[in-house]
Amino acid sequence: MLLTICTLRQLPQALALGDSFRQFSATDPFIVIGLADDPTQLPPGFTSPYPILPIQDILPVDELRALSAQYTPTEFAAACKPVFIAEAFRRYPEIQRLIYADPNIHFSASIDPIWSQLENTNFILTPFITRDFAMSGNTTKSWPDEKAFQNIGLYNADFLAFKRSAETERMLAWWDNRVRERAFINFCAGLCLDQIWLMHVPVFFRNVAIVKNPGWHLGLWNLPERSIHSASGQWQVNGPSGQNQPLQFINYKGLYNPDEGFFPHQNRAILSKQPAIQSLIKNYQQTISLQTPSVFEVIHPAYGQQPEARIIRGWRYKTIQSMQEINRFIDQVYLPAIR
Amino acid sequence: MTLAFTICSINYLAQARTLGESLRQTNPDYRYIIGLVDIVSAANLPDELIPDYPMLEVDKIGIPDFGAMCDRYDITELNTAVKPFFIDYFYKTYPDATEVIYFDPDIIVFQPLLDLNKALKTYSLVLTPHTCSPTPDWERPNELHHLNTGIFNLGFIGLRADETARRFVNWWKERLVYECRIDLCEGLFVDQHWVNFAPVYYDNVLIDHHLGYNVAYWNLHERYFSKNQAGQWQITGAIDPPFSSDNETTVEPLQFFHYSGYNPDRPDEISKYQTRFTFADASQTKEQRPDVRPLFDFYRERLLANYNEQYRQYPCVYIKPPVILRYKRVRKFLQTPFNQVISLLESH
Repeated sequence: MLLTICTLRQLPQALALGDSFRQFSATDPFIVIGLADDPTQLPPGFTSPYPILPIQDILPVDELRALSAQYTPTEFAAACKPVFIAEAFRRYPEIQRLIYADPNIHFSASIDPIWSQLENTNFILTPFITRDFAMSGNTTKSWPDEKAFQNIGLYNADFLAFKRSAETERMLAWWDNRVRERAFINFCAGLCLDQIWLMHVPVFFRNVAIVKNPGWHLGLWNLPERSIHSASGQWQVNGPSGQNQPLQFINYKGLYNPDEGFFPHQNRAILSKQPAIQSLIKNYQQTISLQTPSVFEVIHPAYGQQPEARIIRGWRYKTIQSMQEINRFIDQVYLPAIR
Repeated sequence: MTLAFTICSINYLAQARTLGESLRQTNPDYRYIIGLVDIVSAANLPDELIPDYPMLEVDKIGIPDFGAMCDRYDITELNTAVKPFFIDYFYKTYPDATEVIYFDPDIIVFQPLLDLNKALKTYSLVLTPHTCSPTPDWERPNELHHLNTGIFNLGFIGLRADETARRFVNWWKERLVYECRIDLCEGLFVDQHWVNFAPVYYDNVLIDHHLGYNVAYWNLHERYFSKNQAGQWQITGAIDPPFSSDNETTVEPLQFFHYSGYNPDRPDEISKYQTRFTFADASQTKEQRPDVRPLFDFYRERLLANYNEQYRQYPCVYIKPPVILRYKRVRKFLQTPFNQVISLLESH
């Protein structure tokens, strides 16, 4: 089955994800939308083509309230992920394998290769990047650099696949325990949502596949290491770990809404130089527009009382950057002692 | 030929000799070299302090612009930054070294490393995680510390001399020229945090879950010690570990122990970096681990026999006086207008 988790605002993208999954999944077209939001706020008359599982049905009210009070909406949704996945396995006992995908993800080829990868493993992880960026000393101004990925975790929590097993149960129990209290974004403390915890997964748990296929999980962050082309009507991807791989799925985080995700200030991928990705984004925008996003965009997330970090752009951002640089200089410049 | 090496300054030569002694007893086929971040001739060591192992001084391995690196780094950073440069030097200087193994000087080896030798026949890199299972509480160190400073402990790394390992070493070298610093907020922790990338960038990397490898204060919670009938140390997993589904107890022989943060002057302390365990504690506020005490007492005895008291007197020639930044208040004052502009821009 496919499980996604969204707020009402993200519901149009979640529905589009569901449609893309159904289109390419002949064998297992079951889809569930986990709602990290208040279902009573749904627009009147809306009916979902896929079952919606609200977080209220899983967590007791007092736990929900506590989580909501301590987290931002992004952190809140992240903190609900393990419990949603565990609940999906519990509610649907006939389900043997589960893909979790962020609503920004869109499938564009048959799901079968994902299922067959899962045959011999318990979990699938996809790294943000699969090859070192060429960096020239300490003078590079390109961002994100490798350090930025260390802060957020090297495996992207927007796509995961699980097989029902004792090991999966153990992993979900551990992960759930960690994110209830520690899904904050705080790099200095080693915290970043549910995602950075995945760094422990290949060590703590057995049979973990790290898939580096360039056709899997194409996103803003790995465009510099990959290139897309069309071959006999199909998108194919070249990358460090393979050539001419079918485009399996894209994550449009930061591509659809530039303010979303970890890389609003990235300057490594230059989209204007990649016509293929531009046309993919255009198609995606059209697909989403069919889901009347304007009705949903105005709904404020019901959970996550803490304010999200504001994304500042343009001259304001540049000015802040230079002032911070001056401050760093003032902190570190050698001042001779006056006697 | 397998080349084993460590890196230290003269003040840590007792540790390096103790490691060498243990290797000679357990793995006599390894060629052992001490990489020295120091200058022997400057120290003018008496005869008994000249180790019976080859020493290779760091200024002899051709690190480009080594002087600038010394200026940039403090002693911890410098000692860790040179690690891949030594490996690279060994690759180039000893073409018959088919495997290179690094051990921190405060490690000793207890057994012939047969499994490791076998693993290095197939894998390009062998890495040891700080802990193979979830940490039981939020005492120090816990999972968060490992997220900040690196999943794998770089007191040990095994490398085959193949194409993949060479590519890894070259990449690691490049990173450590400038970014072998400690700055957790920026995702930096000396040479160690970088190695998180190894299984992501390179195939053929073994994350070794052997309970007998790199045993140290950071994994005592999952490893309990006893001696078998032959008098060899063996390790059993914890009896009721957190987030465990099966209760299969594995018993594995102790391969090598890492005495990180142990001070022979304080024989009752496991490590200055941890808060979880004590050997014995009358107040019983921490879990007591009398089972590991003999391993530490043995190490202490070997260190003292190997002239620890004498070696520790020698200051490292690469040590610089710590940079003291004066006028903190003046600096703060100068920053005030900039901070005001920043918060103004961020709120509008």
